[in-house]
Amino acid sequence: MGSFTHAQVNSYIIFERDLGNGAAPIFPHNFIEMMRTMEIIYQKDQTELLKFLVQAKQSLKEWLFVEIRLMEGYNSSFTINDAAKLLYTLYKEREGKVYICNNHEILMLLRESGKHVVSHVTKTIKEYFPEGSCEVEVYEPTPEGMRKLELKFTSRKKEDLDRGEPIPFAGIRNLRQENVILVADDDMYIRSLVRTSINGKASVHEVSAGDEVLSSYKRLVPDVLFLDLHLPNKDGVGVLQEIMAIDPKAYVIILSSDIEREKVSLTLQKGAKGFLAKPFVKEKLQKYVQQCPTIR
Amino acid sequence: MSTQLPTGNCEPIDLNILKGFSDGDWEIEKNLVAIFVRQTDDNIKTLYTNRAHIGSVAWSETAHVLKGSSSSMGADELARLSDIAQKFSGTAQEQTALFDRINNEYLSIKDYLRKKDYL
Repeated sequence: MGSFTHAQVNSYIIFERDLGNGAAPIFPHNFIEMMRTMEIIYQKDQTELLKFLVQAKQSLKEWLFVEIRLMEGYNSSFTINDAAKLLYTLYKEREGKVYICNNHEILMLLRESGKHVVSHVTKTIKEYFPEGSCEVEVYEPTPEGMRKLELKFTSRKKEDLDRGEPIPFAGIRNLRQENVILVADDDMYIRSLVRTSINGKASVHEVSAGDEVLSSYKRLVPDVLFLDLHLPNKDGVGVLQEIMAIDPKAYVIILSSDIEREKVSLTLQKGAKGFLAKPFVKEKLQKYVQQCPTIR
Repeated sequence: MSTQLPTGNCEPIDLNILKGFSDGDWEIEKNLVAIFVRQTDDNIKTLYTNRAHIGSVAWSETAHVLKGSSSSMGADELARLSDIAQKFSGTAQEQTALFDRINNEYLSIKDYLRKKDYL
């Protein structure tokens, strides 16, 4: 294994089955059902899981098993979940794949040639998690006829987020399925108007104090942040600067009744993508949301 | 607290603003009105508590919130009075009088919302 001094190491183990005349799969090719099956097995015993894998392997033809395993001591589901989503996004359209994941492990089965997948996964992980590193190790085929490839991926622990280390904002936004909007305003009525305007088309989160915005932003990685300038505990312009410092591509729309020209210019100069003066109309807010490049 | 009604002839709220958010959905409108009233009741209490405290941060910050929500509700007169309150720099007596005007305006808004079956 490589030497990783700073962060935790995840092992990505890939089993490539030999080609042969295997029978039809013994389990349905349905992600949800498969996941439930695996969860039950996980709950019972790790040995049961291994038995299951062998059984499944023997029943499958031209399949590739990809197991992503967290190393001991890793205490965050952040990376494993994102990695699972990434792999799911990459291969969901391809024939004959099944994913199984919980907070600790992922199993992926692909009707693909192993080496291609390994290089593809490695490259993509690097692309989406630029702060991590990825190494590949190839092993001899196992007695069961599987080739084992190990991808060692250095990632960051969740606690690192709080120490201000870079967050892969673009990767996270690309990976998830839903749109996320954060509203920072001390006025509950305004927050409700924003939520109503979004009308269920995104997951809307709210904060009411200035000193809560940055931590919520890091945790939620919103596509759009609607930011009031006049917030308790911390000025909105200061918050905007903090956000732009960690996420230069942040899509921040200022939401304020302070509509002096200097104030508007200042916020746009600091990186805000738009200014929504109170009182605002729903259509203008929706237009800003639609124009956000990461909103689907 | 004074319960005097305002003398103006206009309706205290332009409900078209609210309807612009609801697309005519009565339940959404009622829900938004309930949130507005709940929050404004609290804001009025805070203003009342601080009505004689010149330079009170709670007074100006609350007035700021009230300005934003009332203008977004279509309650222009309440928004205007809140704007004055946010920037107020007169005497304690004048500030108390201003509070009375704000409170009266809010009472007329609630009255109007009741007549329209929102409350």
